[in-house]
Amino acid sequence: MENLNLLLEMKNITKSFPGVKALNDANFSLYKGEVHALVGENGAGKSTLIKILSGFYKKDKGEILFENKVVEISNPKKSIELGISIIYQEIIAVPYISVSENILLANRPVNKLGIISWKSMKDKTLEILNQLNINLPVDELVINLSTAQKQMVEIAKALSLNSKIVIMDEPSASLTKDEIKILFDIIRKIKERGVSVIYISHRLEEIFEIADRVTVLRDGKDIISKKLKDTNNDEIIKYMIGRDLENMYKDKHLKKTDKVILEIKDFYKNRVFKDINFKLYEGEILGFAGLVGSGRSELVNTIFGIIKKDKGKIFIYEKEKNIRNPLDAIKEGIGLIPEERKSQALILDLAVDQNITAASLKKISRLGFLSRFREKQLSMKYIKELNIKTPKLSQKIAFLSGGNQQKVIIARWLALNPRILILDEPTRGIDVGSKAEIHKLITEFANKGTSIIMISSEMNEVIKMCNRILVMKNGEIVNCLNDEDVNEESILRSMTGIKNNH
Amino acid sequence: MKSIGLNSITMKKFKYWVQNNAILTILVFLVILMAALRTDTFFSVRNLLNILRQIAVIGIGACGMTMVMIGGNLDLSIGSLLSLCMVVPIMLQPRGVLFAIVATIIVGFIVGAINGFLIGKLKGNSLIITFGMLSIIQGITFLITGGFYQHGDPESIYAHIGKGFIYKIPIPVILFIVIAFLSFIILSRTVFGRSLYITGGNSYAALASGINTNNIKMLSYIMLGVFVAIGGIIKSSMIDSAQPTAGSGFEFDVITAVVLGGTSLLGGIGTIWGTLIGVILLGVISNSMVLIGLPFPLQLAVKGAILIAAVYYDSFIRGRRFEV
Repeated sequence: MENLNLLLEMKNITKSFPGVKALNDANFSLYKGEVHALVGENGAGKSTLIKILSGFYKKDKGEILFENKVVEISNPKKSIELGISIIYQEIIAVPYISVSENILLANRPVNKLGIISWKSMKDKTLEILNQLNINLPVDELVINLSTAQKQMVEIAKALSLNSKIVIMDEPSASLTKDEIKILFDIIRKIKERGVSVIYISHRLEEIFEIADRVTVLRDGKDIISKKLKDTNNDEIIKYMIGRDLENMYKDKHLKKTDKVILEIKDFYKNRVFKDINFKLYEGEILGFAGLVGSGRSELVNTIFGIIKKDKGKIFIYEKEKNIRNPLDAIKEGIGLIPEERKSQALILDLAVDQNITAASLKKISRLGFLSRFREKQLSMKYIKELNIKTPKLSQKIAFLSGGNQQKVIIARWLALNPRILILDEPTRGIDVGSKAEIHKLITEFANKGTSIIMISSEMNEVIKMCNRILVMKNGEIVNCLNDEDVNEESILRSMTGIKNNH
Repeated sequence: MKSIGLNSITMKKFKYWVQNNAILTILVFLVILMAALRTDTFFSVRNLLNILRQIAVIGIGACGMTMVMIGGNLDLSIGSLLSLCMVVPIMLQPRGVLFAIVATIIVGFIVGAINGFLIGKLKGNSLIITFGMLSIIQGITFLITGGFYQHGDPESIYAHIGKGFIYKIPIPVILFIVIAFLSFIILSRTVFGRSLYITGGNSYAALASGINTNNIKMLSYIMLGVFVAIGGIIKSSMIDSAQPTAGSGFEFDVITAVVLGGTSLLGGIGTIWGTLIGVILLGVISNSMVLIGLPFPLQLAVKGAILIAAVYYDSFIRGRRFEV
C-alpha cells in the first residue's frame, strides 16, 4: 500500500507575516526514498514551507504528519531529531575546522571520559564518505574546499545524523556541470538507502533528470503535484505562472527616446559579476529581473560608488565618468534607493523631514547653517506630492508604515532631481495600496524624463512597469527582453534555463 | 470610592512627563533630598559655586564627547589628554600666558586630529584606538614632566582663568555656558551637526546620501580635543599646578554624564540639553556624597554603579523608541 511509504504529509498549512500571507492552505507530501522537486516563483512560498519543516518558523494553521503521526516542529532541534536536514544555498559549514569535524559535528565519538577519539572520528568519516562514493581529504579545513565539496560535506553530515529527509535549497546554483553530475550520483545513492530528498530549484531540466515527483507552488498554495514522467517543461511553467496575463499592460510607460544616457561597459568584480554591458536610454524604465543572489544589487551599488569594481567603465551621454563614491554619483545626477530600507536607507532616530532632506543638506543651508524654513518647505513639498501620511513633519520615521517610509526615501532622492534613478526592490514588503501608488509615481517620473533602472524579483511588477528587462543569473546578464517579448514566460525561461545572447 | 485627582488628565500628563524626563526628575528629587538633609551646607554659596566649578570642566569635555558619541564613536583617551593639557600650559606659562594657552589648544587639536584620522580614515575601532592613545598620551605626559608635579605662578594672569569672576559668576562657568551654547548651535543648526546625527544614525545611509563620514568623524574628534584642552587650561589654572596624572578618571565622569543625559552609545541620539542635565546630576551626586561623608571608596563604587545603570537605561530607551 502506498500509504506505508508516505513519510511526510503537510496539510492545509497557513503562515502569515505582517502584511503578507506566505502560505495559504498549502499541502505537501513526501514518500520514502523519493526525490521530490519543489518549484515556484520568488515569493510563491517555497522557502517558508521548508523553514516550517526545519523548525525555523511556526505554522499558523495546519497539520504535519511524520511517519503517519502528528508532530509539532517547534524548533530546529526537534526537526533534526525527527530526521530532517537542510542544506542551504549558502553553505553554513564551519570553515575553520576540518571535514571530519564538520561531518560529525553533532555526534563526535567520545570515550568514557568524554574525550574525543580522533581515530574513530576519522574512521567514521571515511565510512560515511565511502558509502556515498565521495572522495574528500578528511583532515582538510573546510574553508579550503570548493563550493561543491562543501556541499558534499553537508550531505555527509546529514547522513551521519541518520536523516530521513534531506532538503536541498538550490543546490546546483554554484556548481559546474561535472559537479552537478557528482551531486546527482550522491543523491541517487542516498535514495537507495531510503532517504527522501526535497529538491528546490529553478532549473527545470535538472529536475527532470533527478526528481521523481514535482509540486508547483504559487501564491502560497500548492497548485499541482505530479510525477515528472507525466508532465513537461511547458506545463510546469504554465502552472507556475497561471495568471490572467491580459490586464497587466495598463498604464504602461511607453516613452523612450533613442538617446543613450548611461552606458556600462565591461563591469567585472571577482566572484560577484562579470561581462556586464548594457545601455540605458533616456526616459525609459529598464528592469533587472533575476533570482536572489544574481548580483543585481551589487551591480547597482557599484555603479553608484558604494562598492568598488575591479574593472569597468561608466559613460554618461557618451562621456566617460569616474565614480569613486556616492558623492560623485550624486554629482552626476544619479540616485539610488537601496534594497534594505531599514538598514541602508532609513535613519530611524530622525524625523520624517530630516530623512527627506538627508541628501539635500547643501540645498537647505547657507554658509553651513541649516535653514529650518527651507527644510520645512522642501519636506512639505514632497509630503504633498507623494501623499506621505504622517501626523506632523517632526514625526519619528520609525512610526510610519512601510509604504510611507519608502515614499520618504523616494522623496529624499527626488529632492535632488536626478536624471538617473535606480530603485532596488522598491515595493518589497509594502501593502498593496502603497505599492500601486509607488508604481504610479515611478511611471510619472519616467514620463517627466527621468531615466529609471528598476530591480525587482516580482514578476508582475517588472512586467507591468518596464520597457525592457535584463535578466541576470549568477552575476551575468543572460537575456535582454524588449517590449514585445516581455512576459512572464520568457522571463522565467531565462531565469531557469539556457543563456541567450543579448 | 473616590480617588482624589489620580485619574485626572493633569495627573496623566504629569506621569508621562516624569517617564520621559526621568533623569531630570531624579535630579530634582536629589536636590530636594539634599536640601532636606544638609540644608545649610548644600545650599551655601560656597558649596554651590564649588559644584559649578567642578562641573564646568567635566561639562566642557561632555559637550565634545556628546558630539563624538552622536557620530557613533567613543573617546577613552581624554583623561590623559586632560593631564597633558594641564601640564603643557603650566610648563609654558613663564614664556607667556597667551602663548601657553594657544599652544595647549593646538595640542588638543592635534591629538583630536590623530584620533579622528585613525578612526575616521583608517576605520579603526574607536574603543580600542582611543584606549591605546590613552596610554600613549599618558606616556608623553610623563616624558615631558619627568614624572614631576608642575608648579604654576599663582600671581600670574593665568590664575585668573580658573579662579576669577565676571559679574560674580566664576569664569569657568561662563566658559562652560559659552561652549555649551556653541555646541548646541553646532548640533542643531549646522550641516556638520546634522551630518553627525545621520552618520551615527545610519552610516550606510549617510554614505549613500553623499556625506563624507570620515571627515565628519574626524571633525568631531577635533572638537573634543580642543574642548578638553580648554578644560585642561581651566583646571590647571584653578589649582595653579598640574600633576601628570591629574586627568585620570576624567573620561569616566564625562562618559557617565553624557550617557546619563540621554546620548546613546550606539550613535544617532543625543542633545546638549540632556548632557547638561547629566553633568549637573553627576555633579550634585558627587557633591552630596562628600557632604554626607561617604568614604571615598564607596563614592567610587556608587559612581561605577551609576555608569552601569546609565548604560542599561540607554538600551531601555533605545528599545522603547522602536515600540510601534
